[in-house]
Amino acid sequence: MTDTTAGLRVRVQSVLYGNSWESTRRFTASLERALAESVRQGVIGEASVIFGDSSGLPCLHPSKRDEVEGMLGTTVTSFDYDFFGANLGSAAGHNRLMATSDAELLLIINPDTVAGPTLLSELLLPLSEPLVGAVEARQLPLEHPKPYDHRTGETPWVTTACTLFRRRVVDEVGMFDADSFFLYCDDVDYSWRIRLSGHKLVFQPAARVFHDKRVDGGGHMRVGDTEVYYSAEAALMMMHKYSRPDLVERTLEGYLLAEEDRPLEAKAAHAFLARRSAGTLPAPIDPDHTVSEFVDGHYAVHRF
Amino acid sequence: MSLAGRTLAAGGVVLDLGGTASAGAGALADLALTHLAVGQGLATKPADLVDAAVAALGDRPLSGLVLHDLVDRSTDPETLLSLLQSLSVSHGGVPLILTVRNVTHYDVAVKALFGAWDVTDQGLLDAGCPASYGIDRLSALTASTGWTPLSEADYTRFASDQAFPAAHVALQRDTTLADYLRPLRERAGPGAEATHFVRAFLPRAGAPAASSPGAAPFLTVLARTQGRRLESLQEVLLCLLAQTDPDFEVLLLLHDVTPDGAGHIRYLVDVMPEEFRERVRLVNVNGGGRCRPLNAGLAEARGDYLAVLDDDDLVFAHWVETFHSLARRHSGRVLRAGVSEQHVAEGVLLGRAGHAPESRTETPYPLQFDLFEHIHENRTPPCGIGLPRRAFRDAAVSWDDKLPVLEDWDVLLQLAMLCGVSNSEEVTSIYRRWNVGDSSTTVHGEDEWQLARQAVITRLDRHASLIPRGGLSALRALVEQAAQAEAVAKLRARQLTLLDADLREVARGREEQLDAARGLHVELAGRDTHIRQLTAHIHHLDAVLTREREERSAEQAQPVTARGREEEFEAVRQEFRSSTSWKITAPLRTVVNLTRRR
Repeated sequence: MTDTTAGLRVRVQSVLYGNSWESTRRFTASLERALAESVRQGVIGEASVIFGDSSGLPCLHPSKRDEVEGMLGTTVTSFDYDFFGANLGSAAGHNRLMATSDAELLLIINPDTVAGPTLLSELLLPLSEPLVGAVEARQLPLEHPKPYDHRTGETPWVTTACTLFRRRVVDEVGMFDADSFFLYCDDVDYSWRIRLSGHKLVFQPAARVFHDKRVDGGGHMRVGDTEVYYSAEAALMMMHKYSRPDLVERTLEGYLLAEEDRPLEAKAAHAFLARRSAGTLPAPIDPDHTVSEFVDGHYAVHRF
Repeated sequence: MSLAGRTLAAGGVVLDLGGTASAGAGALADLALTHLAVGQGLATKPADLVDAAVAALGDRPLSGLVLHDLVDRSTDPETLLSLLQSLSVSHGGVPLILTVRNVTHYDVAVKALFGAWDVTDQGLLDAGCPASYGIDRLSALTASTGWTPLSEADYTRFASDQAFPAAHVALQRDTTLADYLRPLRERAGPGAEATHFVRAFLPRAGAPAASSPGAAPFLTVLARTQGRRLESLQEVLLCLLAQTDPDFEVLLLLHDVTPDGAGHIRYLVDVMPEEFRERVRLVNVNGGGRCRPLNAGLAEARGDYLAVLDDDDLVFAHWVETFHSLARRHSGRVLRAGVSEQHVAEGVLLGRAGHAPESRTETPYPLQFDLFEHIHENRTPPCGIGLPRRAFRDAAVSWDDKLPVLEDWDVLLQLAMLCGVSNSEEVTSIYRRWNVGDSSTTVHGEDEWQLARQAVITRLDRHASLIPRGGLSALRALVEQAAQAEAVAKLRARQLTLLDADLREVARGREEQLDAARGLHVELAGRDTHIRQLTAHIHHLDAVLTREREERSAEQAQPVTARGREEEFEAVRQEFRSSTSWKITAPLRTVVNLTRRR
């Protein structure tokens, strides 16, 4: 039996954080085209868009909001803007936006991206299989090295840089774990919870999204301090939540021993220890490691 | 005259404005043309001159108009040529032949470079000529006054009347400077050796074509495709859509693409946001090699700079922005940014033909541009280069379609040596290497690559080249490195020779020792045999002695004979025991006895 998405509603949500107007404009124009193309092809019924804003001050001046709304035009049934007034981070930000719609399909996408015109129509294809809970797009120019089955597209986790979720799976699994994750790994955790619920995750290479990442002179992706800190914090949380106390202790020791050279990781270690002392860590799950995987600091065996 | 013969219809009058009655009359008569000189020596206004010409012509048929050295003497050439255009049209559109001194002849141009402007009574820098013409000015003048080019027969001389002083370093034929400047001038456009432009024109019907509207973009992206990699072409377009700097246009060069393929490509563009779509043009190119689409793109381009993207290259969001920043800093130079590399393989993904990366991005290409390194071999993929478009025209550079590969290297070297390079270490693109499927490295064999390398260097070496600032030091360092390497190699060779001799000596000594050992072995074996023989003899004698004693006991009755025999035997025995053989074998007997007791 296959599922059809024709006639279904798509909710697009994105959380802004200090994005420039030019970047937002490019993103919006590309999003409009992707939505228009999928409506034209009849693979969805209608679309709506909401931007959340975690910036200190609103990213979008009212006139710019009007301009965004104008750009989206009749392609969407509605455009909403929610200024949070605080930096909620990725997980809490998306939770807040998720609560505003019950559309059957939910597209979570970063605002520092540019959507390919066939992005949505390609993301929808794997959803013809009922067990598929989420479909992730291929990022350009730097594709994520996590693995996927070339025949089925099945992948161990999906990133909220650009992923289309089935709403009933979201309702079944619940929201993002904002208590445990601020930035980074909220999507890995969510992915594993979707898999624990018996659903599949698919990577769709034909669905393309440009994500503005850059490399240094050695070809390695540039990573800022924020990413270093929150990735370290999230890594400890993941190891704890997915029943790997051995990895937690080993990682804590490693971070603390290298405090002088790697102060951000050490700071994350202290924050974790503080939470542990306060008893505010999440209850561990997946004791048999059915879905969780920790390999060389990653959450799957990377292709390269 | 040759031009007249090619362009003028016989049987009519040739109006020679400003000419003399005798000039060319005979030659024209041979062409069945009547020469009519009008207004020679007259300081006339154009209208008066043309009126006089019309009056002189009368009712006779007009075959053509000639302006010999008049355009550059006239104070109002625009009016003159406009009036003549009307006259020509009223007589059925007869050709105009004009001659104009060319002040862009190499001799004049190069002397001006050195600050010399030698006006003479006659000649190229004639004191009586208020205006100076090169081909651009002449073309603009004739186009604006309603003429369109028909034919040409420029008068050329290697050394013009301005070729003085003869010893000028740039005027002499064989100096390095002349070897650099003269080809540069020759490539830049017509007139390097023309003292006079001799051109024929026809009156143009209708208004001249309007120039392209709108400001030119900073960059023209030449994206060539054969329509075989539509999946990756989509990705190229997406990367361009995501550029932080929108000041560029895209020429999609469809090289031998089928109508179906062109339709797919058109769709890829049509689904893009409007403001991007408007900056993309599709150019169909048929036949030729890899370079034909690039040269077609060059002809269509409007940007100040050109960048070549193949349909499988990826660029980061700041690709255009980085080039633009470099151009602002160093206007007119070749632009270069860092390039990373990634291995990719084709395959079937989720039931469809696609491709997937098989490695992370690496940076095997140097982040800094070094000209001499690049002369040795190309170290920059095309996606890392921005080329100043004007330089293509000024230096008559184009992509060489005779090269099966390395056409990008050819152009890069020509322009880098002429313009210099402005470099950024920022990595702004990904050059993808295909592990499966066709690419230029798999389609062309090593022989082709080698021949192409040779062709590129040979062409550059035909004339002198520029070395950029700091280049002499770099060249000297390279020569010094080579000299040191050679000295080290010689020293190593010498050391190896000595070592070789030592080894041979050791081998010889070893042989000798082996021979000596073999000799000793033989001698010892001989002595062993001798010792065994002696030992056997001793045992025999002992047995004999024992027997003799026993017999003597039995012969007590015959004491004389037995005693005599014993004395005789003892004498033999003593003689034997005092012998050398007996003494040598003493240690052996000890050993034998010890063995017997055990």
